[in-house]
Amino acid sequence: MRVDEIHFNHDTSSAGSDALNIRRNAAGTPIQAPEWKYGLTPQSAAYAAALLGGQVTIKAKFSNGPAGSQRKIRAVDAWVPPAQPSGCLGWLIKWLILLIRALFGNVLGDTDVQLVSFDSAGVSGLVTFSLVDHKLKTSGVGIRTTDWKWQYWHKGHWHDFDSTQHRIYLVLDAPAGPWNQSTAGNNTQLPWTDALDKACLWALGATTQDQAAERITKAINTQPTQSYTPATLFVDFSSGSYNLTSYLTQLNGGAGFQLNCTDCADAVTTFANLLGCNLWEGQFYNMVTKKFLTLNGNPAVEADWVVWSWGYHEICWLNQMGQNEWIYDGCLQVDMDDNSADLVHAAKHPVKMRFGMSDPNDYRYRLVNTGQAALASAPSRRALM
Amino acid sequence: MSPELVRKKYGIDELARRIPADRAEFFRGFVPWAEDVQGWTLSTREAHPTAERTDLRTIWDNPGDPNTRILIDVAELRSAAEAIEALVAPLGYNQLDRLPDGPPNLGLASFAHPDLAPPAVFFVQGNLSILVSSFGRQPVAVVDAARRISARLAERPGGEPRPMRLEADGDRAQSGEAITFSIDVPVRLGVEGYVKFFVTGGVVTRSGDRFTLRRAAPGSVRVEAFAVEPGRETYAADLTVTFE
Repeated sequence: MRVDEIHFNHDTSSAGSDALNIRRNAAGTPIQAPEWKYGLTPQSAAYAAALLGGQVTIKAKFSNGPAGSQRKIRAVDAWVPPAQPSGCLGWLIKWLILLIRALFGNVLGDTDVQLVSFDSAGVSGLVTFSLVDHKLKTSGVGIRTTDWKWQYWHKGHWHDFDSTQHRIYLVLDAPAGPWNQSTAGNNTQLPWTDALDKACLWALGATTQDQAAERITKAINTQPTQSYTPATLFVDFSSGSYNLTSYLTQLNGGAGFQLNCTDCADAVTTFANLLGCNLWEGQFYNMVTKKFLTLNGNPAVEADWVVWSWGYHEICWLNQMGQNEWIYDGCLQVDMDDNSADLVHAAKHPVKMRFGMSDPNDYRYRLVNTGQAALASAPSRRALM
Repeated sequence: MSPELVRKKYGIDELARRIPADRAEFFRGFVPWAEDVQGWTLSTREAHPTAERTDLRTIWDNPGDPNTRILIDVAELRSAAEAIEALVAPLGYNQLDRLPDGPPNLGLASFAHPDLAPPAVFFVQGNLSILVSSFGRQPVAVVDAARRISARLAERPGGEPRPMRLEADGDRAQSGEAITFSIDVPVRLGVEGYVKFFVTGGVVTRSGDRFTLRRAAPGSVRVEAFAVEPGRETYAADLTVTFE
């Protein structure tokens, strides 16, 4: 007997009991169930924790079964816990293994037991299994690997007959714009696994949207290969889209590259919203800044504390724009030290800071020295390419 | 900033008036070559063709210093006027208060980052809107690369080119009207191949795969076309149309 197919996203119209509609990147076509098919390279699946109801299901199909008969079948976690350790080192190793497993191990749990009928050729239909003891709603953001051992019941014992491995992305809620879940056409705005690879690592373990947005903002700000230029380099000017493909190419390439505030705001919004946050991008105009820490700057290096005269600056807004709304800025760190004339600085990532101008904890108060810093009329999100 | 404000701030309409009415350079499929960037290594090539324009990004890495890279974005438009207009978006999406003019005699119009910012030059030549920008961790001068690209665009290939076909809908037209022509390069050009036209006496635009010649007053318009590619013979053709 063997497993022929496993379907994680078996209902593309909903993600309430199964996986999200996803794709690898802008090229190609969406990933379609069965994500796991005998003899083919397995595809990933992604779940949005907040969307899931009480029961999460998969579908599976089997062959080489008993012709014209039935078998009880289930999948169980193939992971074997480490043996009882001895000595401090043993305990440390066990603790590390458990930590790694908590961060990267099985979130699907096991499946329930189903009675599977086989036809005269020993092939089953698609059978629905419910996940048992899964951690999809509690584990937080991450990329996890599940190893399943498939077993059938015979003569009073469970017998292993196959094993499968699955790469599972877990996000907090339905990906927000520019991402969507539409199945119409070859929708390039479905969540990309190439982007999930980054966002889920950067925000690993985040269990709230605030945590996720904060971690994404800090990650974008501190990517070691990035540096600042005033020119926008990742907006496609013919379509107005955010060229995420190009950004990922540079991130993965390992060589130094440049970007500006719009590119950073696009990146923060795009990656955070992929995890279920609700950020928008919005500009404000005409300002001379106070000293701030430049993109990917070192707080201990005075040359990385800079002042610019800007025609505009673009940042991320939580839910909506306004003087008293919350902002995230992945392009810089503000200086929380009150004396702007000296060489003492206190770098702070602008994560969920109030925009404002009156309070020393406000973002605009910390960033803008002179100028109107007038807000644009409305925030937006750029489509992806 | 709204496109209208950017247009006003940078005098885009005034720049458009610099487009000559009696001569033109026009390019199809232009790509930067390694020789434009001192033989650096091409690490990224991304092309996005649409009916209206083709955007080509190439990124060049200095083999002797991993911290220095140059990005070249070439937007190929259907006309010189569109190429000037295509400056609006990158200028509007530049955080600087105002970009100073670029180096003199670089294309129809040019802008450049001031010294305090990583080097970048925006310029328009023919129907191309080009950005040459320092892209790595360490700033690197880019004006020389921009000038080399500009010079290569303007250069008429020498030697004994092989023939190709340049075919117009007729050899006569009324002044103010348009006449279309097409080009037939006898070989399939590789990724580094491109076609350039030098037009004397009129202007040229593109519509789909065909090109359109215009001249406001009676007289003749001459088109010289070259298909060039490194390591291959140049192909050339010319065409004369009389406007009555």
